[in-house]
Amino acid sequence: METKVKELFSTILEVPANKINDKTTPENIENWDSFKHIVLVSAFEEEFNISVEPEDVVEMYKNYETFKMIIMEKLK
Amino acid sequence: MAKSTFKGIAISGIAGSVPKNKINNLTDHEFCSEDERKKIVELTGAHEYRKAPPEICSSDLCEAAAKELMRGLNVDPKSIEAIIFATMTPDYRIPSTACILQDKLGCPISTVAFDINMGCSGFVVGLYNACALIQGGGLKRILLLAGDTQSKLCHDQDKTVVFLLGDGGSATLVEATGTSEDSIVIELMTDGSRFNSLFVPAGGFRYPSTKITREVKEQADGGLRAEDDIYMDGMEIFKFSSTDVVKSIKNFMELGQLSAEDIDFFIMHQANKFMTDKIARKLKFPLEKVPYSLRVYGNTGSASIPLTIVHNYDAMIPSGKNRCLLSGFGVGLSWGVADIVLNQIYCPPVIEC
Repeated sequence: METKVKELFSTILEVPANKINDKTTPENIENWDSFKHIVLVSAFEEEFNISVEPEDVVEMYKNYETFKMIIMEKLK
Repeated sequence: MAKSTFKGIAISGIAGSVPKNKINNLTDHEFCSEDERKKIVELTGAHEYRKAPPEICSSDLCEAAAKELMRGLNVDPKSIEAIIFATMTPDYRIPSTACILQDKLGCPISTVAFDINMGCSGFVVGLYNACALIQGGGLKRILLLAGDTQSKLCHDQDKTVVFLLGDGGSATLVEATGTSEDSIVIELMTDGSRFNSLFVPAGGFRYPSTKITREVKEQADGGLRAEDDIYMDGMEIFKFSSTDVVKSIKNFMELGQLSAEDIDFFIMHQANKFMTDKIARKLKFPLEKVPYSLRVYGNTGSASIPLTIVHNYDAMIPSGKNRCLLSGFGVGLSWGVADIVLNQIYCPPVIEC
């Protein structure tokens, strides 16, 4: 599942998956701005049929690790 | 705590107005790719909005709404005792535009008139002031005008704001009824420590407009704008709206022993649909109780709450009482919640100017 999360993340941001790791933040990756973040969250909601709480949307903007953990938690 | 209960006060009517000129977010803004435009529209819910030409100001939109409101309610302008104009886009830096509107609307010189420099919380803040003038000052009839021409604050290629910020005006008649069952409860909040997450950096007295501040540059967030244009930190505003605003509405409802079932309509500032749908769900409001005007008018600043009521009034049981919870939030940062009842008010269709 972790691979699938990274794949979708990489597709939406149009950034190669090998350039994404837990330390990836909106500051150190091109394309991850506040609008693209909303696009990301919305794509994950649609793909995995989940609903992300508004406060989680904010948390997920910290780094890829937090983003992934929140999505994985929702998928449990 | 700025929470007040006002008794014997009600809204008699609301009118809304917009410029005729439509901007279509799917087909205009060609500086963004078609795919990007589609995505923005899908997520924000703003398909189009209205953009005023240079000669139309917020006050013109509110003047048209006020005239229609007074005509429809058969109210003599001479009976207006106060004009409150909530706006971020006044006619002049000096004087308050409300003074000019006193004359244009034919209100007497005994009218008290002032502007409130507020944006998306402006309607709720204005309503609080109108109620306070009635309850504390003994006035009977107040014209609350709320409107903005925010499109004039944006650089037309700043994708963080240009798809959302539209122009609109409104007029609301707030009156003393003398009936204690008519009550309006309002709570206001402010956090100036985050003022710079949504503001126009230059052009005031702190940082006057110069040749340099008027230079358009590509900014770190990818937006194209000058320091004289409006800046929004999208994620900071999302955070503010989805945490502070949600928390204050929850507290307001808990203290007032209100549940979503008690409220007929939850009318939010029209920020963006991705966020406001999430806020509504978080507060357990079914989406059918959450009217929007965002699709056709975008985010119209201080006009967004009254314009949303006017735009949806036909579907809001116009023959009966509607208990509405209003939530305005934005620049300041400033936010407020109001619990009001709309009881067969006069609400004509939105006027085009």
